Amino acid sequence: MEDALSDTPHAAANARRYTSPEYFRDEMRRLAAAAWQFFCTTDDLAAANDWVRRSVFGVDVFVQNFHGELRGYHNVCQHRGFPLRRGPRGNGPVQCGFHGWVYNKQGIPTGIPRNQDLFCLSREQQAELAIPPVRVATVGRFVFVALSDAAPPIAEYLGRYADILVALSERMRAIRHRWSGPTAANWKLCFEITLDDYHAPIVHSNTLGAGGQLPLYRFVYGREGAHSYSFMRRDPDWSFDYFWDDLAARKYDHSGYKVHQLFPNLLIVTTPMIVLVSLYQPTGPASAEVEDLMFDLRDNEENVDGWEALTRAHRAVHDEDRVAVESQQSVVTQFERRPTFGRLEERVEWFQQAYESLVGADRQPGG
Amino acid sequence: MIAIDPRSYSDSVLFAAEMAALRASAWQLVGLADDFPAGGPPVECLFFARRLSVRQRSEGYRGSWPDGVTAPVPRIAAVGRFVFASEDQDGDPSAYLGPYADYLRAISPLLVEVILSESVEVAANWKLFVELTLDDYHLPTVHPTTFGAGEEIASHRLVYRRDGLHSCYLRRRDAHWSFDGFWRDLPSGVVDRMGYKIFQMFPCALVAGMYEGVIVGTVHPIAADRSVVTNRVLTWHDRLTGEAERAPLVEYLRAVFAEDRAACEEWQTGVGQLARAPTLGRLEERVRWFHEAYAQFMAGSSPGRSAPPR
Repeated sequence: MEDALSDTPHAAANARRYTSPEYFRDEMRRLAAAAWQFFCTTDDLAAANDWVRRSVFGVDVFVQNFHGELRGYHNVCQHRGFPLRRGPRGNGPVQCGFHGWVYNKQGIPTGIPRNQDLFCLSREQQAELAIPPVRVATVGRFVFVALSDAAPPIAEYLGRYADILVALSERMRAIRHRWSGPTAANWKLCFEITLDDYHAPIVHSNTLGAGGQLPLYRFVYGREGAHSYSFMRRDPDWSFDYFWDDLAARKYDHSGYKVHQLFPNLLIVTTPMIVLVSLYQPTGPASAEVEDLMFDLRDNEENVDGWEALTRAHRAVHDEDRVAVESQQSVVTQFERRPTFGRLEERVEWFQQAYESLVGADRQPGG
Repeated sequence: MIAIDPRSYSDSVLFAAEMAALRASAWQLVGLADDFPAGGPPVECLFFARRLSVRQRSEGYRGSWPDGVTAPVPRIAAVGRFVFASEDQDGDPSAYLGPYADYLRAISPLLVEVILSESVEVAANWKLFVELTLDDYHLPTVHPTTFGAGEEIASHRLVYRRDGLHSCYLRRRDAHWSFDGFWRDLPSGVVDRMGYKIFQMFPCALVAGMYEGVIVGTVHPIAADRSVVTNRVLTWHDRLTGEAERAPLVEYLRAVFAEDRAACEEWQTGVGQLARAPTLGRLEERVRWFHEAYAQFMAGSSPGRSAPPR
């Protein structure tokens, strides 16, 4: 594989990439300049004044439904720096809990308690205090946020994945299960394990990998720009041409097991029963937060027992991954050579190439 | 306006430099005389992110580092019953505190019992807590059922005064009320206890005089994003003599302190993202003074620079 860090001892490069606070800060800045991050689904923003708050590449952001229009802002009151939104989601006007400043949908503080008595801010001065906005784009029911104008338009960024997300949204019911939890490992390690089909029999020996290694012909990998997918073939002659044909008609074939990875940190798994949307959020150089949204499908029969068993099984797989990547994190700085990727790890290599290409990790921190 | 660098609320490198500057020249309230019994064993307290042992001997207070720190041992000196520490070997707390030293001396003999004492670690930078206590604008929002309940105080009732690095809040009884007599009487030990008064002593201590007694509050920095907030309430010798009178006040103040701590912890999560200077109104004038005092102090305490303003 091409490694932009080829002239750097690999252990030192790993120390930077996976543990350095300075590298992490710079990496977040570079991601913010180049990428879109999945934010939520429109299910959480259905009603007027619904809002969702989360970190996007280290920046605290909220997106709100302003009577049908989704807009996003940095989550910080421009008066004194207090967070405007507290908690992960809710409903209500944009009002700061510190001094009661109220913002309109343009992010301008139009309701300043005792303005004439205490500040005497004119309309123009109030407009100058508008909250910095972020870019918000909705694709099907998937809401994305970009922090910078330098990121390409969402359609260009997602490529064919825009069609996939639109088609996928059609049969997803409302969010059925929501879960989040921390992992003591760099977000890239958390994400890379989801791109790796080689570890299943070892790490998931009693769950996902209980059947042992599957024959190679079962795995079909594809690359869509910075993104990639893994589809599971039913037999060696199986073709997925129909899948792409159906997409043109906004139809997503839910049969079989399909995994989509959207750069940088979104995983979507589809099966005949569910759609799993997992976001791997960076929270520090050696920590990440994984958030899962699970949807069942319209036209499928309700099966509560089956659903509970499914969520339990998913949690077990997730915990096995978490233990594995936390172990990997503990020795990542001692790994003194480039990784050796086999055919079942092809997408890990693609991810690292996309990362180098889009985020420019070959540059020195701060460069 | 001069605004504090938002990175200083969370950056550990800036925090270390800030603590070194404060230890070198500022006087911090480390306790009350009763905390250090004469002839008793050393008592540990917090002094700008370090642990400090203090004991009271016949010749005065002595400090020592319990953790084997090799830096010069801070000087310990009392103003009335209020015990301060600083590595400044030449200054003294009375000169540092100016007229507030007179206030501390004047109230010391009038205070009797500690009816509330709490020390709580807060996930917030120390300056946020100081700024919150200097801010009279947040009361209706952060304290809607306690300090901020009822009608807002008309701004003409509030008198703010700046004394070097320090500042105070005095509540007028009417629009024409003057505090000239209050300041004139203090050096002779006479203190007007009527009305609510808050004295903020740079960098992180306050004494608030109220009808029932005083609140003595100190924010002890322990890390860039963590502090220990200590509050004690002492009654005047002629007020709140019965338990039944004290309980409601204690409950009320506990609620206020908890509301402040919760607000600061929330604030810590957002303050680093504010990319502009804060917009400070008339009820936040003392916050602006604190920002200016902080900037002057940090500049003055840098090596080769002039001493901080007194």
